[in-house]
Amino acid sequence: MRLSRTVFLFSRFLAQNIKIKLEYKADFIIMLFSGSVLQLLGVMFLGVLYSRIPPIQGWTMWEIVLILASIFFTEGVVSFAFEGMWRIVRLINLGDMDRFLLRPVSPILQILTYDIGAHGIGNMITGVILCVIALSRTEILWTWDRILYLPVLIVSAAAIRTAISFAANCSGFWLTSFYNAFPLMVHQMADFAKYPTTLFTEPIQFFITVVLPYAFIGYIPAVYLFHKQPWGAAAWLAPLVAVWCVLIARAVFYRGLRRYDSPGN
Amino acid sequence: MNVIETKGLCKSFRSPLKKPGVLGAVRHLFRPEHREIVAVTEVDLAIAAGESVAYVGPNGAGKSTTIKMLTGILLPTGGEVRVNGLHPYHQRMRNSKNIGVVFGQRTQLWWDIPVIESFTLLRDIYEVPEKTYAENLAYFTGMLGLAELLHQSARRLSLGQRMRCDLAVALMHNPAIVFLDEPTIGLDVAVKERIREFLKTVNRERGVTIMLTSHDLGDIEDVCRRLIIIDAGRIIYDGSIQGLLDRYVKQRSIRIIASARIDQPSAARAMPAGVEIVHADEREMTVEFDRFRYTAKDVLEIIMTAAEVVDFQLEEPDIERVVKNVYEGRLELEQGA
Repeated sequence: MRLSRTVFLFSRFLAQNIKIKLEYKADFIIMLFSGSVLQLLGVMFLGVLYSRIPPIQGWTMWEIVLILASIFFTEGVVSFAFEGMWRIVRLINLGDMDRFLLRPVSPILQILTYDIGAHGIGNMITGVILCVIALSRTEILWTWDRILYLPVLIVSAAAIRTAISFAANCSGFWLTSFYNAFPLMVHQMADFAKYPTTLFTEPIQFFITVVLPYAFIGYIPAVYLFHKQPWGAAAWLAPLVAVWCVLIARAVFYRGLRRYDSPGN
Repeated sequence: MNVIETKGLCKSFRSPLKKPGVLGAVRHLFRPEHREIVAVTEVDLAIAAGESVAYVGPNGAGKSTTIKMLTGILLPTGGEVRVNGLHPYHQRMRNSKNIGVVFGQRTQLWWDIPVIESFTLLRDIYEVPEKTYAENLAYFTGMLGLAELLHQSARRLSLGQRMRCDLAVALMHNPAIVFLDEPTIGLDVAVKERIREFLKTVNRERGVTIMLTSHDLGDIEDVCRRLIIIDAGRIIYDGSIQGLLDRYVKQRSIRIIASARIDQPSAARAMPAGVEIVHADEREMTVEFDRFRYTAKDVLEIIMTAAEVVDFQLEEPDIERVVKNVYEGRLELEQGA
């Protein structure tokens, strides 16, 4: 599909979903707040933790809050725009995927935009607020390449997260149970990205850098932005990692789709 | 030109074979066993542009599976398939622009938004030019009576109203072929009539090729000129409706009313082989005969030797009986001819 058409249809679907969500106002507002409250609890916990212990491996609390903030923000973007991927298992088991396959639009786009997550807005807001606070309490030497890196990071991180969760949800093509816990487990592993990767043992480091490259959405960019290590420039690999993840997720989806047996009727 | 063409089309599913109970489920986890279920096998189809075809068979015969392969939902496990010259699965997006699909059990409409907004979304999805869209909308609104429905959300529509909207959706982008899987299921007679009328009109006026599956013989006789019967995944008949009757319905029957009491034993003796009394009353009798061996006149003359006929009625062979026999697995296809 042409990019302009993809963007156009994405915005059409998004607008439609927002309109639908706004019809159930109470639901919408509750979802919006639940997102923020959950994330703020996480930060408060971190605050308690740090008030008892000295900086971890040279990372101050506010530096870690900045990593958290950027993760909250991209998580918010992803769940707001692409919440539909969490419905794949349902779509497969009820045969509702049929409808998507009958239209001249990529089924992946249709799945991603099948729903929006109102809690994503809460996450985005929390992310921005924490980011502003954290930036005022940390020292970053802003060079031009670091400024340029910010939009690259946001887009790449969102793509990496979307691709990994999407691929994990595609497990529904193989595991035909309604209660498939695998996608959620994969999603939760992003928690590793919230702390300096060097805290963990080597197998885990390898795992979150190579297998599920969550390190590229939080820790590695932070190393770069704070000038922590000479290898920090590796953060510029994030877009490549993102493309790699997207290609794999796409392949997994089309592989799974061959198994789709369109139940019902 | 054939718009639908398949050769040796097959589809089988792999279904997990689990023993009952928790133990069976655990065992399946470690040593999964599967069973091949053949849904469609060796299906050859050749449907020309502008045809209207009924695809008929009992539940589980493979009707929906075939339709799903032709529309690009399912990947065939064997054989060749071309729809408008395209492979429906591998060229799915291009194929979907040329086809319209109605599944009686599912809707293309968005559940929570007014119908008209679903229409405009689909207009954008199919890239229908504004002028074509306006013309089609006016045409379908008139023919299907959609005016009051357009501003309601799909969830508030009755089944019949929803189906009318879905028909409009399926044809909004001027597809060359429209596939309908049970389009009249669960609908009342008036709505059925309206839908059949609509399908006939778009087939005649716009040259849209129609392929429909239905359990409703009215749909088949009224809308379609060609009948394809599938049973247990295999095509067992492909031809005209009249041809089916000629080939598979041997019996015709005649019902007479006599002026006096009929002497049954002597009447029975008078019937030659191939003519049989199937119902007899004091002054009434129904006789079934092999229509390839006897004409109605022959049979009437024989009856008149045994009874004083004052009135008679000839019952024509009907499609209903044939298809019912297929559904009940009782059609003796080979012997019929």
